[in-house]
Amino acid sequence: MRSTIFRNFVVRFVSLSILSLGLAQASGAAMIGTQQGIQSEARDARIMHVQAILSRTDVAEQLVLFGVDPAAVQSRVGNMTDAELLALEGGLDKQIAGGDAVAVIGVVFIVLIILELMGVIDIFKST
Amino acid sequence: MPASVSNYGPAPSLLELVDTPFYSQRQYECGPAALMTVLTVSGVETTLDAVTRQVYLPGRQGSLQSELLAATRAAERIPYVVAPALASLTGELAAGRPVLVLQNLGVSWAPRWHYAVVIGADKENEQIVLRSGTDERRVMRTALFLRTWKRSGFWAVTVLSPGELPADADRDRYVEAVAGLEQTGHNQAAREAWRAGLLHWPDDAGVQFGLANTEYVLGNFAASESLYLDMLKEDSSSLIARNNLAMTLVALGRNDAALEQIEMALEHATGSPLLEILQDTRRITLDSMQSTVD
Repeated sequence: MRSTIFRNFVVRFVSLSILSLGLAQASGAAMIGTQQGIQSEARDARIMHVQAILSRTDVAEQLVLFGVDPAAVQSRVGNMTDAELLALEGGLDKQIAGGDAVAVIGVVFIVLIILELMGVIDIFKST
Repeated sequence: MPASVSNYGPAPSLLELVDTPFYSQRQYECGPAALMTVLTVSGVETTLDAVTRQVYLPGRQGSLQSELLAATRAAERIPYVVAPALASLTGELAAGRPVLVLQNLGVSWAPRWHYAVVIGADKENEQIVLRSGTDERRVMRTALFLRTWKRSGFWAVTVLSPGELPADADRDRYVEAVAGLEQTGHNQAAREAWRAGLLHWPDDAGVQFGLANTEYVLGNFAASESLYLDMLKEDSSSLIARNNLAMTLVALGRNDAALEQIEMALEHATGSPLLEILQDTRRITLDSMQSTVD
């Protein structure tokens, strides 16, 4: 319980510091950035940049919730591009995470549960 | 597998970067180990623990692709995602750079995602050599390697030092990669990379624009002014160049010249998606004139 409260506090703190970092970067707004300029729709890129600044907070929170040391989060999100931040927003769990873990997901999981309930397997029992 | 993917390309038929260091992975930490390998080859001095801290995601028991790219930028290097073809890998190997790849060693419905580093290719014997997991020298049949690589969408990244160009010299991929470095604030490294790009593509507006913007951020306004003027010499209708030229002139304290430029841009901006930004620039210019008078 106590650690949950602490974790929430840390998440808020990290969010705030990162949000202010993003806003600082957004000033000088009338310069057109390279990424913005090389895209055909510069205005879209500008909107994307503002969205990315906001999504940085979300991604930072998710990183902490997924076990990243809060002290390392700033550097991790700070080195992501707008496009990368937007791709991760709200979906750290949906991304490919290379790490050799064999993930049993979705339908396979449901099939396993049914088999378990039917008594065909006992994969979920802890002995 | 289409021939465009499985072709070895023009590189020598037998390649192996035998001096590539090996970092044996800990459980679930193939991402940190693979990244450590390619960063070290690129001359980055770091430790496996430091890299793990940058890219390992405990809650997912793995590492995300975008985090590998971000950590490469943090090391002042350019993460260059190569084109999806075997020839991209052999091209980089021939240039002395190993390539980090994402493979799915399982199947699509029960994936086992794995990062490894390609260090060699043997066309005659149809083999790929990797630093992989706890295997210092893993040899895979090329056909099997391609199947495991295909499942990741042929994702592969090579680490360039600022100033180095990728073997395939693909302009769009290079500009994208360096713009990412610039967007994340690594301006010194980005400047060096844009300069190298400009030597290779001297007339490319995207590369000129990138260098000009980086010089601006670094406070070298005279340098960025002359680069924007180069762009306008090639294409006098470039609104992005004229907008940023005006901002540069403001920074140089030449408000009258800035106003002249931004008005010229606005004359040709009817219906342009940039209109809003150009108007902001005009306002900033007028504010600057005002505060100079005060």
